Amino acid sequence: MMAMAVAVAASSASPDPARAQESAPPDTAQTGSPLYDLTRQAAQGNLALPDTLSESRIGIRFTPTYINQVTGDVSSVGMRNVFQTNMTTPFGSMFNFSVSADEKHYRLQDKQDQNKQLTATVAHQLDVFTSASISFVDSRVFNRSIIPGGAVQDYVFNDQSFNASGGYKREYRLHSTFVRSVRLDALVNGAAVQGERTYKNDETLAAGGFGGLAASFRSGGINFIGRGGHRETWDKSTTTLSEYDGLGSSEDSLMTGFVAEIGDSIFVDARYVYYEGARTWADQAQGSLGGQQGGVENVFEETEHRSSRATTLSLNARVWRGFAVRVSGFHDSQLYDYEIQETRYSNTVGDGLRGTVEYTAPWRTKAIVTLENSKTLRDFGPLSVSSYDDTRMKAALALSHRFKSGMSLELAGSTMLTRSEYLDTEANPRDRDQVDTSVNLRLGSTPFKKFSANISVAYSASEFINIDASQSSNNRTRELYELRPAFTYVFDEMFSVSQSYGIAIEYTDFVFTPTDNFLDRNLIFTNKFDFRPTKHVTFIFDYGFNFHDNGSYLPDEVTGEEELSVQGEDRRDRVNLRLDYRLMSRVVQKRPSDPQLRQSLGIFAEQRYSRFEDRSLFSDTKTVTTDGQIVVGTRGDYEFGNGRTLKFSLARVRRSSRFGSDAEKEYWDMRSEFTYPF
Amino acid sequence: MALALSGCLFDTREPDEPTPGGDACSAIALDVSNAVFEAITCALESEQDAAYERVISERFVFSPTQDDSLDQTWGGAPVYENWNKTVELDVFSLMLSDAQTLAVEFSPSILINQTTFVRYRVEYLLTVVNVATPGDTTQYGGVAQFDVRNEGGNWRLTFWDEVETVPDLSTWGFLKGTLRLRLGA
Repeated sequence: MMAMAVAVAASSASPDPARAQESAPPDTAQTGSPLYDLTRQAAQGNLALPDTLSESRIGIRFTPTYINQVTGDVSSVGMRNVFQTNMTTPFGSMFNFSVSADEKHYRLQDKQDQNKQLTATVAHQLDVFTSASISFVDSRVFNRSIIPGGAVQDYVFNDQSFNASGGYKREYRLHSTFVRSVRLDALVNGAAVQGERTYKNDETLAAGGFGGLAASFRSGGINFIGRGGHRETWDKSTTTLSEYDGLGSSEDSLMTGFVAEIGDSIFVDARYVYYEGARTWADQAQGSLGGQQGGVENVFEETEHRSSRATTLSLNARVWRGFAVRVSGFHDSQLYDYEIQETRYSNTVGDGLRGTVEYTAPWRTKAIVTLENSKTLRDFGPLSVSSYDDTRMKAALALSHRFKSGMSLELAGSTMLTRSEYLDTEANPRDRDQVDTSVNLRLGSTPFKKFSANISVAYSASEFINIDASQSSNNRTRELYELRPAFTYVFDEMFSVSQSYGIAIEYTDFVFTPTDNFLDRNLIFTNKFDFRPTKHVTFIFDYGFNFHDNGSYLPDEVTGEEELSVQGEDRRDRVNLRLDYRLMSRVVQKRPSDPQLRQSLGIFAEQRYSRFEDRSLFSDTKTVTTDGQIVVGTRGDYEFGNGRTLKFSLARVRRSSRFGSDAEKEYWDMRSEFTYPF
Repeated sequence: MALALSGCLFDTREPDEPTPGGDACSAIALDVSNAVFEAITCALESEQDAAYERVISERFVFSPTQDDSLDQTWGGAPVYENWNKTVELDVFSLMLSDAQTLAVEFSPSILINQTTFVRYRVEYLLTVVNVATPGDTTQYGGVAQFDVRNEGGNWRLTFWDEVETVPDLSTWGFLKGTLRLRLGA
């Protein structure tokens, strides 16, 4: 019997900071509560059982790999080193080890980040149905800032955890008239975690059991799935002044769902999700002015009760070829309740219905109509005056058609009402309605082989309506009109031209104050030449122009009629010139059986120039600011074989501007990634 | 087509005539990059959300400090995920609803200055007195980076990045997290 290795690495929660724009979003699966994460995934429609089986190769395989990454730009310079290795044996065991170090220094601030992590996991397949694993994770997160005055501010988040788990998975193929197959899976795990924070240390013991059942029935194409689990933690927090024992959490969850096929064109999908949890942890108070309660002396025990339910039902029917109907409805609720900080209470209850009709006509025009209606009660408890009902209704229509000549037409429109009704309008008079409407038309065409064009026309409007007199001065409408034609002409393989034009007009009008209105008009033009005289050289010239004026409609002093009073004009010109020279670009293949290795190296130079001219018509003054940038660098991408690669980009950037620090004006921009499997 | 649809499908409520002096912030023009601070301050202190809505870009993103993103208060709930303009305005509206008074001080300094993009380093102090606890004043302080871009002639806030904490104060980002948790993150 072929031994099968199962990787069931049950590592504990390791911190992954949430930095929205500078790095990838955080891995929210690592939240310290796998039960809550499974509940969320089920509520989002992911009911699939995890499939963790994989085949091993015969013999012991040892695959160490080293990875180095360097990034540098105007705001920071950082390096990351990772060493990882896997070892698999023919005895059903797998060993994973990785160590990583990440360091980042900020150029425009006195600040640095250091993150380190070590992970070791051993997994073993006891028999074809049963597996077990143990793992150890050590994670260190450290930030240091030098605040004005020279004081040092440190942030520390260290975790060490030991985890053990066992799993059982089996599928039964039955000879029953009704049931085709049944799959069972079960997982038990335990963890011990030691956490060090800036102002306290945490110790945690965790234990949990999870299981699932999936059945496939012969009639009606019915599939049923159910999953459940229970998890408990026992925690202790220690500060320099006190110790909090008896902390912990308890969670239960249940997910059920079924999918049925009626006939061969109707599918029904129903799901129910249940979650109950309670936890006690050491929290810190938010206090009064003059006695702001921060620091170790103001840590206290808080208990949170969390409960969520979700029921969804959907029907998907293909009435006939080219005509489909989808209808779905949901009811869900989510409750947060706290024993000490009662002002954080919230109970959110929602109901909704959504329907979509899709029709594709025999002449290939496709139409989609969507209707939505949902209502949500947001109850923030007896201590709050902010509780309100939130109603949303939406209607949308989309049409698309592709002509035989290659021309395409798309038309889309939607309108949505959002209504907020506060339960206590006397204390909180913020009732409001908002209507958002949009229409978009896009026409694309390739009338000749070398010429393609598209035109888009868009209109959008938002109407903000506050009901109470204390807020209705904010009532306004905002409209945006846009016309954007563009074309591309390819003369030959060496030369092409792309141009785009645009007119955008945005108008905001305050309903009860006629003189409070804002008009912004933009005239936009871009032109790009792409010239490749040889296979090694690419030259790009890119010009952009934007003329903008703004003003208001004000009553004429004599006639009283409203006339546009332009208050300011500005113009922006930008020019980009870029030259790329490919020193080398080749594909290497030593033998026909070997993989192809791509290798390229090039140098580039780029100049950017931007001019901004701002004119005030009231004071008849003009301000001109310019900034520019020259970048010279090299770029390479090498594959050496056996998974070994080097990618890099290194450039020297020099900016010219009236403003900005020296650090901002001259710096190295670098990106590199070196991967070396041994 | 959509205009006809909205008129037939949805009826909006009739608003009341405004009380005099209620439009303190409506006339703030976003013609210079530092107008965003004036607009946010006015919207907060007069508890009118119009100026705040106008100054937030359609592609707005918020990012908390590492400390706040890992806080045990959230218990695993993804309070800072997919933080866009809609989330920002919902959280701002809840903050105004809960508050009896609000005051903010900004101390911005320029880090990067280009013709259509400015990055500020902003030290801030937000003071909140809530309706539920009128005798209790809470302050939130910290340092953030504000990315402000000229969009069609108006300067708007595109990225609010909390970068530093200050001693003994929670950040505004932490307050935003608690509010979003209550909205059902």
